[in-house]
Amino acid sequence: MGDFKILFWTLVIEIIVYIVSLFIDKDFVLSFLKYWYIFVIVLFVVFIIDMVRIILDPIKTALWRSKWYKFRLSLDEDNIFLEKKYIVNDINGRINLARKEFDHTRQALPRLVKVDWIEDEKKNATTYDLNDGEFVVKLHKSKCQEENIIDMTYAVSKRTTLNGVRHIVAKNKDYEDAIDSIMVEKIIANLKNHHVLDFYFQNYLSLKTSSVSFSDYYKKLKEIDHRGMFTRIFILELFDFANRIRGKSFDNILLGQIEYFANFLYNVNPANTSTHNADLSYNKAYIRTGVLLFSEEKMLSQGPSIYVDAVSNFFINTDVYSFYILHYIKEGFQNWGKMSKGIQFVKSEIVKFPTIQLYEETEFNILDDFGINHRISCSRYIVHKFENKQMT
Amino acid sequence: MIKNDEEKFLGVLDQDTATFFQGIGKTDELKLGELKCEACNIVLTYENFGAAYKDKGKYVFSCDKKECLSQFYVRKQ
Repeated sequence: MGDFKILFWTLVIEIIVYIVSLFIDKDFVLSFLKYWYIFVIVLFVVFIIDMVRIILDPIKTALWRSKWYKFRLSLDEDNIFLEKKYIVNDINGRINLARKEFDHTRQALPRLVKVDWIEDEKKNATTYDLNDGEFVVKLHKSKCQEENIIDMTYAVSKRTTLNGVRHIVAKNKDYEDAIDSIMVEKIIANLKNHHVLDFYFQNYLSLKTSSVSFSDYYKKLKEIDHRGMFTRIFILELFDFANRIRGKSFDNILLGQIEYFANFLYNVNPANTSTHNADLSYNKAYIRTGVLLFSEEKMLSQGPSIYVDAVSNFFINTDVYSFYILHYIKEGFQNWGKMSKGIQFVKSEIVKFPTIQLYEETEFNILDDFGINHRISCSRYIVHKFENKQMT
Repeated sequence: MIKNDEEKFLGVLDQDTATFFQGIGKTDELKLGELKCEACNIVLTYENFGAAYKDKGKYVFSCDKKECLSQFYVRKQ
């Protein structure tokens, strides 16, 4: 019997080697089989490195824990302990991973969420008292996990964005709701889960779109987000606005500055530079900014110097706090080489101004109305009030 | 451990709301209909409870309606 087994496995290995050798050199296969343990060691090392990376990243740890508990829950559906573990790890892992996907301008964006069960926090005490500032939310069982995720996304977004301006924006409830809806949608979209998105559109957004005012604000902010300007410009400028008005109580003028800022950005479209007649500067008391767009026709006929002069005339001399350079990256298109050189010249010249400092530069993709993918560059510059920009 | 860039929430499973109110000593008030939603003033029950917050020693509550929770989430000290 033992001889039969040896004969059987020898035959199996010979068949495998024969089949593989049809595609790969037989000597290589045989030497590979001779040193198979090296292959196993390499796989093991890669596995250990991956495990360490997951353990050191709390978001990935939470995600893997949620998958583990979900698997165990599938075998023991009535186990409340497993269900609770799955719910919180899934919320913490998925929302935070989605939030991390747009980590630029991180100060202005919602914080990461950390949900713990109250009985764990209060060490399973039968009676306890909440500390001041502790926020308790009701969560549903795991079959309503989409609702839990959306509710917690709303909670963390509402509590940690628009800090310093929320008391002003809240006076226009539809405007506030529209801003919060866009922020929540951005996080939920990064979950890449159609069930959650469908649930959100059917059970949350649809409740608000009956208001004409909300729909109008929502449409404008959605278009601003579609062009990549919602977090990179709108939220960031509101964050700086909050710092400038710190301590001020509500004033209709302050609300007006925020409301009209959305209108300003809505009219800025880097896709239409040839026919662009919209105002590219927004100069109010506490939001003073502008956007520089490049027209291919002007760049090629008049050269990049006109844009350097425009920065001086329209941004520096008018005391803006910041300005942005937005342009499409059209590699492979006709004249892109000359455009690119012109744009790089402008960017290198403007940082030579003593009061201008590059804050951040990002590139991102958008889909236009025809579903065509475009790559866009957005650079933010701070204009300091003092000649020595190293002071700040 | 809460990091600076994290916002902490305490969760209560929907089937554990009775235990929660018992824990904070508000069961009697809830049964008497004395606890109300801060936004819409509806009388709170175990079923329609949405969120709770402690502000300067006083408990405030919200029902589970989305519009009420939306206003409640921005509550801060």
